[in-house]
Amino acid sequence: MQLTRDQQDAFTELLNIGVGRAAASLSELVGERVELYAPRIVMCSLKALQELVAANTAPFQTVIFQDFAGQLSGRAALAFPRDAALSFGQLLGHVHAPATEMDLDVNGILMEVGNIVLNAVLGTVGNLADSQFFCTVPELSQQANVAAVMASHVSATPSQQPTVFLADAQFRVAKRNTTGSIVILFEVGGIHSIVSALTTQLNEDRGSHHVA
Amino acid sequence: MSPDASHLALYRELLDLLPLGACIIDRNLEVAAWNATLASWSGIPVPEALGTNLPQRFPHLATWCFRDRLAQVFTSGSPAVFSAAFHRYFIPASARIGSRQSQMIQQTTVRALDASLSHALVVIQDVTAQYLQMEELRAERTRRATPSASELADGPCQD
Repeated sequence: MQLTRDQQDAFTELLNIGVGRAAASLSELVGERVELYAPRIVMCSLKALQELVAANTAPFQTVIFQDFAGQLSGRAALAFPRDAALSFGQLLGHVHAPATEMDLDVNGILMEVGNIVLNAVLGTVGNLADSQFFCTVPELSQQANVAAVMASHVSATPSQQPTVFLADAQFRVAKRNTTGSIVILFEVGGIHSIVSALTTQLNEDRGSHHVA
Repeated sequence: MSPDASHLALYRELLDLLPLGACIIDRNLEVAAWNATLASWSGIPVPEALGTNLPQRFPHLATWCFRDRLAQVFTSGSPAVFSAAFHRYFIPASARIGSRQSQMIQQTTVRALDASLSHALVVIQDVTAQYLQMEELRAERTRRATPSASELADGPCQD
């Protein structure tokens, strides 16, 4: 299954409404303007994500993730290359002391930022699919890349190849850009709910345009 | 199904076993359980805490950065993390180490207790010791990165 161009556009637009709210929260929290934009969301297999991550020279190894369960189940993550995560965390927290490792401050900042962004993303998904789910408290992983973190959520013998939604998350703070990745993995069946909801949404939009 | 009185009584017993500060609040942000650790930290005994409206007792919790995210826990089931870096504390308490006049530094998570979204569990971790260590480490790094006046006067070492 693949998203059509229209479905991609619709999902991207909805996602950006959600992350826009997250950006507003972050701006208030940090005390300066934070812009957050997800240019495009694509759908791919977990295997394709693993290949993409393996080919990337900057492994996305700082991963904040939350699991969700209910009518939809899976895992959502916000991931950064390690150095980008470190400098981004220090920038948001106005940490001026030189540091080469993630300390308690930066870890806490990334956890809270990840929590705000992922709540916004999952809120968008929940509204789209008109379903409610229960989320776990976020965790921060620095031991494995984002594909491995997502793969660890999948059962040892999945009945079919899991599918993920993948989007770049472009942050802009104090004229500095940081790019992360938003990844959402659905357990089997979840993707169909989302695609079906997107189709319904598009048909409704077209119907309202006709009436107008 | 919302937790009933017997569930809450059990939760209170279990929460008292934790070395973390913990409380259970309802949708109105009123305290339904307050564990012994939090009572000790805050100086607010359990009987006094029960039924307290948290934002009324602690006005900083009524500010947008807490209020809106706490509300989200009850409307969407999304957990909230309040880092020490951004917020310093959730429930004010005196530090147990270092200067007694200083504030305890806390890392807090709030999550819905169950799918009914009628109550939420607040768990508070005292991270004061780790912060003091981190600040000492940063100060030491800064000292080492900044040569002293005598080092500048002596010039580079000669082998």
